[in-house]
Amino acid sequence: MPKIKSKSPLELGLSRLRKNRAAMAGLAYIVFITLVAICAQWIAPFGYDFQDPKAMLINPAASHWLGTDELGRDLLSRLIFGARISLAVAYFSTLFSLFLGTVFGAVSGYAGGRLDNFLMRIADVVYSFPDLLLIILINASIDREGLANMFAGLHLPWLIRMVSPEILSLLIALSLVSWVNIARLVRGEVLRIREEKFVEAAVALGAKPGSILFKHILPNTLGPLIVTITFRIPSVILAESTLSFIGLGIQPPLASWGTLANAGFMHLRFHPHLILFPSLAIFLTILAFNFLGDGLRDAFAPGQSR
Amino acid sequence: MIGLVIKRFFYGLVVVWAVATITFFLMHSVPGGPFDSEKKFPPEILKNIQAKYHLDQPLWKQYGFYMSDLSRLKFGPSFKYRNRQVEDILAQTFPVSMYLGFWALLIAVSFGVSAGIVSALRHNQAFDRIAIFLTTLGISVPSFVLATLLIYLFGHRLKILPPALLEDWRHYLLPAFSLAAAPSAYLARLSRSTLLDTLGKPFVQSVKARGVSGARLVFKHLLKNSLSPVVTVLGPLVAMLITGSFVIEKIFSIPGMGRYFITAVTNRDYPLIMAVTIVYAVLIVLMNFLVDLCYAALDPRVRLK
Repeated sequence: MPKIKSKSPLELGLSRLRKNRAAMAGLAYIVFITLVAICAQWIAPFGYDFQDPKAMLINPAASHWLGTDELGRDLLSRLIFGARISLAVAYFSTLFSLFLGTVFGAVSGYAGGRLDNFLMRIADVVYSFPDLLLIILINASIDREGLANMFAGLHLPWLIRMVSPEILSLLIALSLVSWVNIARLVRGEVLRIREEKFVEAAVALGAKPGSILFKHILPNTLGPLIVTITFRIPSVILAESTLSFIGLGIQPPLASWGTLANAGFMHLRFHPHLILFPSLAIFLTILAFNFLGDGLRDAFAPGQSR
Repeated sequence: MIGLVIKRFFYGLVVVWAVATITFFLMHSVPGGPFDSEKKFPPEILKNIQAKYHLDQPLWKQYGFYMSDLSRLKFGPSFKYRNRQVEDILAQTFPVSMYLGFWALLIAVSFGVSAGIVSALRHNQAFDRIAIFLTTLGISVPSFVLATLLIYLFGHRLKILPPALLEDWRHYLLPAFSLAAAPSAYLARLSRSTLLDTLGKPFVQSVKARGVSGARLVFKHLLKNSLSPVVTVLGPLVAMLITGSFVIEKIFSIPGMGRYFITAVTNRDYPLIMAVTIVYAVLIVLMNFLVDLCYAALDPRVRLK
């Protein structure tokens, strides 16, 4: 009799994911662009603020692969350094909102009662408001200098030097809005899993509430959580690039992809490459995350709707 | 029904008040006033200006002034546009945004819902595949990318549509379509999936068995039973149009509320920022209220609660 090897749900899901070409292409692109962002200073042919006075506003050519802007700055290099800002903002704000959302959602779902009601009312109001409007309001009301001073007081001034108060304030604003989606998801999952038999068994065996929450309930929310996070990242990239495009996000001389697109908009008529390439970078990255998210959802959480 | 209306009205009022209060304190926690930017005023002039705008009073007193003005629908003078009341600016810009938003909503609903219906009925056929692909593009393309693409193509290359400003109806085409793109993709996906859901239900089998087919099946039996989730997204749709208008109005230089809001944030024009935020809050609360009413009218189970 042939031996039948049983597969764990994880293995099954991974093999389903591997068969999804769009998702794997998305994953490959994401890994590529993330590596480019990390290694920016070794890959980029020029510095992000290096000005070449002999080559202003040139179209894509051998000396500057994607052309230059009105100050003679190499667009390819600026895109590579821009990837660092765009992706760092997206990844870290998703990380913070994951933390906030999981804490809020788990407490709300597990504690239930009045606390749950109160927390979810807040979430409802935040949720029904346009994300971008809230991000703009919070970002506008954050005290940049105070932030810098606070980090200096915490003996972390290197952090501010590395990321600049402007990026940090955008990061905070994005995280404070984005947690709501995650909190709602985690709460729903916690409410559902709480009623499962294995939790009942753990309670009957005398497990403490903390260990039930952390050992039995939260690990089981991981599947839907990963799917949601994969969809949060592109929407954060979208929000950040839109903000930077309308001039309320990352400001020059720093440049995210949205800032570059905004700078290129002036030259739309005669030098369309200046807006084409940043737009393409934003679009491809968002598309890659959406493909990967669709694939992950089909592979690991088939019942979950968008 | 009347009880529901009254309850929702007061709930809406509380939400708007909360939004007004939160934005008031958020805006006043910002370091640096609106008058200490470009050039330094002599201290006595600065003092005069601050007295004019009540900026020398303690915060709670300013809050009181603001709320009592607000209850009379007065938003005070703008800090940036000297000698203009915020409510006058709103009266001028709000209709522009509403008009554009209305057309975008109409385009989004008609395109999105009909695409969703057709692709659900042609599930897994060529139309469905193409529609799915297009909607994935639709939610992945930022509105500013789509808008610049359209401007470049129709305005600069083909030269058949004006690339900016608002004069006649031709000026509305590009902005309305760029604004409608994301909501239509969203609606198409939603109506497709709810209709597919309905198609799998047993009652559809029995209706088909009775020999009902074609348009009668779709309009009489399927749509009525699957469109109520589509009605509920009216709230999120309006939110999408609001955020879309920030970008679209800026790109096309349209003098609407969204563009004034963006400028107000850059200028730290608090009264204008707060007024626009409150208008948006009212709009969203009103939409959700309408959705609740429609829902109660469509689904008898809701009315009983």
